[in-house]
Amino acid sequence: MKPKFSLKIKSILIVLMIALVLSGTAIFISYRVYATTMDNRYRTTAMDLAKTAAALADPDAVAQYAEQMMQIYRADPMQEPETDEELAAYYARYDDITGDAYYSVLYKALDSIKSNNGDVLYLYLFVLDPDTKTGVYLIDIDASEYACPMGTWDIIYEGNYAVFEDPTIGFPAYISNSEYGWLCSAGAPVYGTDGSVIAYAMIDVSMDEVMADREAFLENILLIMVIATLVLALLLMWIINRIVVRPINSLSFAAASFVSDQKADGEVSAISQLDIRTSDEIQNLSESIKRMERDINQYIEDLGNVTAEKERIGAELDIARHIQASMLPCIFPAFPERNEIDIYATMNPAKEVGGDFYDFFMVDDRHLAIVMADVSGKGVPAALFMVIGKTLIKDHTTPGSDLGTVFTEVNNLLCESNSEELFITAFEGVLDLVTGEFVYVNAGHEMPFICKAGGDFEPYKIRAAFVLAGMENMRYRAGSMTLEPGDKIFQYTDGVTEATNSHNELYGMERLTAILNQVKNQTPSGILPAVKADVDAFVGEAPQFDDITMLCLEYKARMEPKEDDR
Amino acid sequence: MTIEKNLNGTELSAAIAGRLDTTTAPELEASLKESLDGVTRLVLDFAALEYLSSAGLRVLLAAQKTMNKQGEMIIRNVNETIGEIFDVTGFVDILTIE
Repeated sequence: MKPKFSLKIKSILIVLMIALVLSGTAIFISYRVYATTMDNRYRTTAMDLAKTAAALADPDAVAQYAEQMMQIYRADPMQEPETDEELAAYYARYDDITGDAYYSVLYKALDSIKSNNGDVLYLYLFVLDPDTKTGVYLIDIDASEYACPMGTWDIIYEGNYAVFEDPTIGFPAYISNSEYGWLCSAGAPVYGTDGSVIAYAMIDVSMDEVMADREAFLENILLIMVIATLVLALLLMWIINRIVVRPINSLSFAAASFVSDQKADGEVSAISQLDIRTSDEIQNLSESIKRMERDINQYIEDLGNVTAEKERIGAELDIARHIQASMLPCIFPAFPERNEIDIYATMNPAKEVGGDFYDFFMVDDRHLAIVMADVSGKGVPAALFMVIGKTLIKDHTTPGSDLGTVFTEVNNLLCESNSEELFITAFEGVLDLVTGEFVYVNAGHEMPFICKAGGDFEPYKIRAAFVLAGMENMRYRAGSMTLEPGDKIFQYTDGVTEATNSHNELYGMERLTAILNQVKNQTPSGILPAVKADVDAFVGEAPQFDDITMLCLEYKARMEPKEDDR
Repeated sequence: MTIEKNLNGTELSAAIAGRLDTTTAPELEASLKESLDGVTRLVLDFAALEYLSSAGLRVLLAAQKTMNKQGEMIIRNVNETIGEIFDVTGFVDILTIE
């Protein structure tokens, strides 16, 4: 079975996630530290340069230039000449000031600062006009055509308005990205001899190179992180594969082939061949599975022995059941040469050997004995007890013997050999075929059903004596009735009336009486199967708990007495 | 089947309810066996007993035999169904039924 998400893929995903978070954090922090450091350095440099430039200018000259320039400027501030001619005319108004000898000296001095600091892009001095919130250029160190001659004015950004309140603040260094590229700009006040601020030295330092460095830094660090992550992931994949996935796969394979290994006799099982030495939980698992296999094998072996033993016992019980069944007379018609009687009996044992039995035999030429009995309990003990009981009853029923005496003697004998507290309910009757006299004795057994010729089957109420083998020295007395030709006797065990269906209902006397009377006109060999079929239909799918044993005797005709009997 | 036992000195009362058949009889047998030591009077209450099979009768017989040696056994509140079983099996002759 192939897993949807293998451990390998899971572990790689986890490594990638961790690497992503870690390297992302690392890159972010290092970039920020690097960028902040560089920015601060540039701010300091820009401000230092601006201060140097401010200190370099001669305060008196600058103050004079500023005053003259502002006089011209304020006369008509914020002019915006459009044509080249107008522009030239505008600037020409300041020519008197710029023509001063010191003006070119100042230019050279400031130019030396600019040229000695390669990054300085622009360097100029300007004077603030608080009324128009503008800065008016006093000098711009720029030889290109884009230079701003004296009189050029620039709007001061609102962000810098604090300088109008306190001129000594100047323009603190700030970084911007505009059409001029990345710039770090700063402005330092130029103080006059009286300590007042007369102008500002402005510096713009190019940061394009630094910014390019910064991007390169970002690219490099990203590349390194990606490579490190990939290497780590591959390494981890290899490690996971080696110490987790492979051992688990081999365990899985060995476990899956357990049953097929069992079937292939004599071969060494895959589990016992496992050799996992990871010194961790997986090795423990492997050891446990090996131990489990040994235990299971032991268990299977034990189970096999037990099963074999059970089968042997089962087979022997089966034989016992056959022997038990064959002890009961089972050849019908039982007395084909006699037309005075018709007898039929059946026993359907429950699953195991049981304790029910019936019997019938000729005591002498004119006396037929029938026996119906049920040993309490089930299984082998009941079956053995049944054999004893059946043999004793038959042995003691001799010609001319009183049935009460027979049961009294049998009871005492059974009590002697009864260590298991078993007992037998038994009914025995002896029919005189000549007179129809039916002598019976009942030791705790069900009442027989009698069906008089032309009448119905009815339970024949006789008081039962105590069961056999229950207690010594019980006295049993025989009773008697007279049967006429055409009468039938039906005797059974409680397996019939106590047959139980799946609703836990008992079959009961009423159902038995009803079915008996439905089929009362049939022969005994027709009545019993009909009753059995009715019981089966009632029980349905429910299992049979007790033996179902029945006997039916029909007294068909009187026997002609022999000469010496008269 | 449920068994409710109550020992009062040397008198043991046991109320048995439900079905006393092949499957439940061993339980009653074991239950009585462990409690009968020194008991001189055993009173069984069958008021709630619904059914009694031959396996149950066997347990009663064993108990009766034990109690014959050490005292007496009395069965109370026998209903019609159970009484009929006692009649049919002749157990009325050996049991003391009140």
